[in-house]
Amino acid sequence: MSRDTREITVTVNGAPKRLTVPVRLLLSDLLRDVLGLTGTHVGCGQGPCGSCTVLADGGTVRSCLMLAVQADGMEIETIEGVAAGDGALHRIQEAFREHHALQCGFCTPGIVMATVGLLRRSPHPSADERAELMEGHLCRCTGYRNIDAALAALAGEG
Amino acid sequence: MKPAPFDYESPATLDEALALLDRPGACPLAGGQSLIPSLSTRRMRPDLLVDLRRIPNLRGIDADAHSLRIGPLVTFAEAAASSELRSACPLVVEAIRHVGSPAIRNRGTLAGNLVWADPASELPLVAVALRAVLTLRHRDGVREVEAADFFLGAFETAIRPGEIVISIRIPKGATGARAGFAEVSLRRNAPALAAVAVQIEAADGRVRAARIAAGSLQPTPMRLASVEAALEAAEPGTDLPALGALAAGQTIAGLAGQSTAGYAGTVLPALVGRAIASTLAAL
Ligand SMILES: Cc1cc2nc3c(=O)[nH]c(=O)nc-3n(C[C@@H](O)[C@@H](O)[C@@H](O)COP(=O)(O)OP(=O)(O)OC[C@H]3O[C@@H](n4cnc5c(N)ncnc54)[C@H](O)[C@@H]3O)c2cc1C
Ligand code: FES
Ligand code: FES
Repeated sequence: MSRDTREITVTVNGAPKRLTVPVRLLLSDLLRDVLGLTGTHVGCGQGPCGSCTVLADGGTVRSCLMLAVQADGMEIETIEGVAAGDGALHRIQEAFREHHALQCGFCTPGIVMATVGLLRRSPHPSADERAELMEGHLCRCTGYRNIDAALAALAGEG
Repeated sequence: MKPAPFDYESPATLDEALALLDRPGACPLAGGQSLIPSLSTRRMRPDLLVDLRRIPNLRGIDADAHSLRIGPLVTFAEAAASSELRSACPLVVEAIRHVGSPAIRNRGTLAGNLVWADPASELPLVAVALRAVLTLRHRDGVREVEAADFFLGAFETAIRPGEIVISIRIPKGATGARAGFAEVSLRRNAPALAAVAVQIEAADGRVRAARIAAGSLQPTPMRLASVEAALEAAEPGTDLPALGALAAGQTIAGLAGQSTAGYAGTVLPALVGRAIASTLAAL
């Protein structure tokens, strides 16, 4: 059905890839359906929920609001690239576990990716910066408090 | 795949883009934060998307003596981080804090937001308040449109098929200009039900210039010229938030009969007072 495809080069979690993709393929669908990286979750597909958040050239983006062709030339980081190669949890993931910052885990990959981005820019984020991060993410389970407890611990306030 | 089929081009020059946009059913793509959700629901089914991202000279913020020029690919995040905008047009930076969430601001552009012309958007009323001028390019020429003439209705602007915004020019405020933005919304970052934008330049206890507009209350931004005039005529020591609220109430009384007049009559004076108070707190 698709009228058109394009060849793109993207780096995903450090690995460069050359792919031919339909122009109407969303980045979220490239990650999940083509590359099998199903850790990036799709909740709303419209921008508000934040579960599909990944890093593109270091900044948070909604992967459901980008076409795969728009990621041409970019470096994409997903939740699959966060833990160490030996499977040891990243300190963000440890903090989430420690503080019970997840229940069903649907929202978690997006929030963890946003946290990776925030801590790189601002290693000790203030309460305001943490609140700004949470503005971009819906969680139906935790009531947010434990997520902020994990973020506060990461900021060095815990 | 969610979007309906379309053709896609990412031309490397403005001329190529303008030629492509001259085709029927062609549509420019900037950050995609309004367009892609509509493609995914198939509310929009363009034949051709012309991605502007590879075209040179559409990024960046340039200043001359009198104004700042914002390129059409400047994102909300880039604008919010600009020290020039912060000092010469603080209202723009203040308003952006109310737009979406960080990931949306990393991709979305000011120009795309103006062209989308959602009545609940923050940037259109800021553009009207600050007397911004949009430069529109078509393959046949270029024209300038003042923000006040650009917004024609909800999701409707003066832009014609084949035209793109190539710059947003905003007159510089005097050094020390301060801004305030107040809105009512269901959550922070949800669409505004009513919003008021204020930028004030003051010296010696007097308001030298006031720039005030309201949004969301009618299909297009409303410049509150009578409130601006009231503040500019005020003697030093006047309670400016109260004066502004009073003048706003009188403006709304003039809109009697419109469907939103009842709600606006309650909320507008309060928001005007609040936005002026937060501006003065920053002075
Ligand atoms: C979850 C979410 C929350 C949001 N919250 C807010 C909010 O609180 N306040 C708010 O104001 N907005 C909000 N928005 C919308 C806002 O992000 C978009 O309106 C803005 O980003 C559009 O700019 P863009 O670059 O993404 O444009 P695109 O989506 O690429 O394009 C938007 C429209 O403008 C046209 N266009 C783009 N650039 C040009 C150009 N240079 N010349 C001519 N036409 C052009 C396109 O053809 C399209 O019709 C939100 C969006 C999402 C997904
Ligand atoms: S799935 Fe992308 S924001 Fe909800
Ligand atoms: S943990 Fe279930 S949605 Fe957040």
